[in-house]
Amino acid sequence: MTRDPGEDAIGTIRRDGRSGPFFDGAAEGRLVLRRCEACGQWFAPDAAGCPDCGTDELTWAEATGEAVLVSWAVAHSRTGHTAPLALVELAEGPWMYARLDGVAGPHEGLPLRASFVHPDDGESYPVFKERRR
Amino acid sequence: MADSTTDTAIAGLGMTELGKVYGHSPRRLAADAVRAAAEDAGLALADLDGLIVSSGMSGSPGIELARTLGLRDLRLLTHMNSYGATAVAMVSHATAMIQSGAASTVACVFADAPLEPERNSGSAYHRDEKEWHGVGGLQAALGFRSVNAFYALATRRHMERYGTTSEQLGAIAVATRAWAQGNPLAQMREPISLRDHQESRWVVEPLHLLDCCLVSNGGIAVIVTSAERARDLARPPVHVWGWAQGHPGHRLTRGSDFGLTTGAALSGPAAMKMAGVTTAEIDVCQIYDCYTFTVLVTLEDYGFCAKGEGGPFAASGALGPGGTLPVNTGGGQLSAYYMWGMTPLSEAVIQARGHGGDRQAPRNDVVLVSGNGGILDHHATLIVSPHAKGRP
Ligand SMILES: [Zn+2]
Repeated sequence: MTRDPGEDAIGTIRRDGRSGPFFDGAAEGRLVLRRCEACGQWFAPDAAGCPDCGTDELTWAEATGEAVLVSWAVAHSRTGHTAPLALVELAEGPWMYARLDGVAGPHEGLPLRASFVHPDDGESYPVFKERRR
Repeated sequence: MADSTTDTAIAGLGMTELGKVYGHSPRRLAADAVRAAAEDAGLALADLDGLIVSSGMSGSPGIELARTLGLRDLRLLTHMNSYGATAVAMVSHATAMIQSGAASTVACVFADAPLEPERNSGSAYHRDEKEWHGVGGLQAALGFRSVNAFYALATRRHMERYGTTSEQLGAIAVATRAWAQGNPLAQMREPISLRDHQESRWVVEPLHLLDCCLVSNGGIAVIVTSAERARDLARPPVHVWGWAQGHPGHRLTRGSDFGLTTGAALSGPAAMKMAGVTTAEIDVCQIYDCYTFTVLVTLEDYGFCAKGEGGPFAASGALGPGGTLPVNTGGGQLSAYYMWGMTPLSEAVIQARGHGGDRQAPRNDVVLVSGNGGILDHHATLIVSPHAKGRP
């Protein structure tokens, strides 16, 4: 396995039948996650169900957008583009794969906050910036 | 506990041409590998009463392979998938079925053909689209387009937590390539230095190109039978001493030890307990090496060094030729060929038989094999020996 693009131009994001509330939230600058009403656990926006309750009926709920950095990586394309990738832990508990934006010195536990990109074409989406007090 | 009459052994090993071998489907490669394994054991295909077929990246032949091979009256026929852990899991399942009396002589096979002549190797597993759909599509659009990104995150987490360095990972790449020089079947045999590793291009930082495995076409099969029967066959038996699996079920949520501890921590001690050995008695390791990091974290989880000490352990030179713990003596998936868990398993059989030639490890009484699948989600461990179990 020897190639990852990591292009700066990421292409156009379209919603599918399962992601409407997530992208509606992103368009309004809100991070919307999945939550299990039965047990109160939060899940990443692509979660299909709650493994503890067994339910596949998760609701959508607005998160604070605060997070800390778990791990990070930089994808390199053969054309020289790079993409700062991250695994972040949201304040509500779940981890999410995301992009960093403008983080100069990433380290485990770095406080982050969701910020939103609104492309001309396609859906808005979150990226994570350093959260300063 | 099984007695000696139901202990099992690997009696045959069949390998097709491996690497940039074009024009054959996985089904054809799998059939060729099973035929070669039976011939290696001195068996006819009609002697098989069990067949286990692994999944692969490019489409598995599935249980239809039995029809391709014209196998009749099988008592065991199934398809298994735990990704890179499948090879060891197949041998374990064959062993359990033989011990139960359900089958006596079982072929376990993996074949894959992800490489196409006109494409570069990376593109075999990578997607490139202009328009992406849903949250999963967003993730891919952002740059999570192959497993490289996820292993890079795992690697970085270990580096951050334990101080593991790229140079320490490079020591694994260098040691593995040094072993590959003794393997005529290895795809990459040119020696490399730590500097070569450091100067190889980034794939996904912190993973350099030389931290990543090859992509290969080909097929490999083994024949598992009772130890008693194996003694009468063509090759010296490779006795199965212990086996176990570990599937940690990491949740991507607060408190997860993703990247820090793998299923090896569960399956390694269990397999060693069944085999009646400790890490001190393991002579050679064949560790699943989709990335250099996988070797490092697996050795830690098995207990060859303390948690967090995998980097210094690798950098000490222990793993290469002349080291205290020979690891991936055939060049592994980093330098030899990428056949999922069949890469470490095939080299374990070769080493246990003493057929390693220039790369034969100085001692081979106890050989450990690991398989890893998913993003460190699935693990299986096998311990084999040229000696019958309990009589080293
Ligand atoms: Zn629940």
